[in-house]
Amino acid sequence: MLNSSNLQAKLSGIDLSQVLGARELFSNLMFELQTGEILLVRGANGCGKTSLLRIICGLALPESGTVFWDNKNIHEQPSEYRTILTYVGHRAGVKLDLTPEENLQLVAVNQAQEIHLSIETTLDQLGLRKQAHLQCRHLSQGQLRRVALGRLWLSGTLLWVLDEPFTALDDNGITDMEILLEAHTRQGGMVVMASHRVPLLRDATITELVL
Amino acid sequence: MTQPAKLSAVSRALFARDIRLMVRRWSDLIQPVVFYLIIIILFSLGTGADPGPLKTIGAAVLWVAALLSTLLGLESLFRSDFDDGSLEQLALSPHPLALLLLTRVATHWIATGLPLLLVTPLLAELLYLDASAIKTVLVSLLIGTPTLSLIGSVGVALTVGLRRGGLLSALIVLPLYIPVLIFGTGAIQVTMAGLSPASELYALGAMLTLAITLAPLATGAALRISLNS
Repeated sequence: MLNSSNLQAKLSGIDLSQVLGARELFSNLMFELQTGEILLVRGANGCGKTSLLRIICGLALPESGTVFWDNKNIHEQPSEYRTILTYVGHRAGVKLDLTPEENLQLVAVNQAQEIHLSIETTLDQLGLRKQAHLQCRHLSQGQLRRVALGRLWLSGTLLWVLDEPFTALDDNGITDMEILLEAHTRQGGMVVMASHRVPLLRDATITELVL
Repeated sequence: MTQPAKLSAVSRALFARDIRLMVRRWSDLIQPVVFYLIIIILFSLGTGADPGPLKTIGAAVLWVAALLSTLLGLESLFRSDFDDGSLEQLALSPHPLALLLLTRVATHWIATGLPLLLVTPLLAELLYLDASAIKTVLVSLLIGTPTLSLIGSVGVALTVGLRRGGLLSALIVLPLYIPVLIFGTGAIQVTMAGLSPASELYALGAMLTLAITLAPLATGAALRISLNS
């Protein structure tokens, strides 16, 4: 469960610009995200969606502009900001030499403040019970994606930053993901996601940001 | 506000995971120690039956071999973590990156540096080192090789984002290894001359202390730069 003391939190980006070599990816980008909302970043391939998400996480520095969490620059409060943040990128940190269970163990320790699901339950939810003791190199792309997304089930964090979470997932996987997103926003969680697919959510505010 | 897990718990989990990964990828791990063995055997074969030259340069051969094989082992320190995104997740941990990296380098040294120490007594005979010197060799390696790993981690962190970073990191790191090499070989030569190696060993200890304190901070900063690009 998310703690209610943070329900007035706000994520905003002011005047964000990023360049790649000599090419401008985006400039003067503004966004604002309140609790319980989803920011859907859309745009053609190569337009800078991943770059924007990495800036929002604080992994990359923008050419200009600032990301604010609770009206404070995220780089002035790195430890606090990382405590409420979960990022699942393209390369999601799944070790192929480890089993899904072992992969989630470190996540559970590192991420989850109050784990509201056990690793076993999470593996069940991900449909990976049978593969729990199989090294990840023997899994399919979609199953690897599920392991990567498993950190969301385990995390009690407020802000999720997701890069193409639906890639390689089958219909069931997409539905599971949408149920999870809905539950997260209903509890006051916030999501920034880059996706070509608009998630089907009944009662969540989805703001679109087109690059 | 929810609290993050304790740093000690995270370090322990990271340590356990890294050890497990290293056991599963043991073929990568034995490369440095095999390299170390081969260099020393080649030297002893190359200098022929006369023990004279090896008696003089044995300490240097041992240390240069240790230095190069440490460098070889360091290539695997961040490479796979960078490629599969684990490094991003580590950088996004609310805990100080420097301390998590210290755990990582320590684990890596246990897997790649410690085996060098274990095979060294077998090689001492090949290099005509007397029994009295072996103790000094082992102590100097025990203090010196972690220093090499820590210094090397900075160079590897700087170049992990580049496609052919291996050679570049060697060029950055090797000059920084010179003090360790001087005092490491010095300690062995002094012992073989019948004197006490204490001052050289203390110097090595001071370098290790300095490296433990400063290298993880530099490595953390370098990794954030590598991840930024």
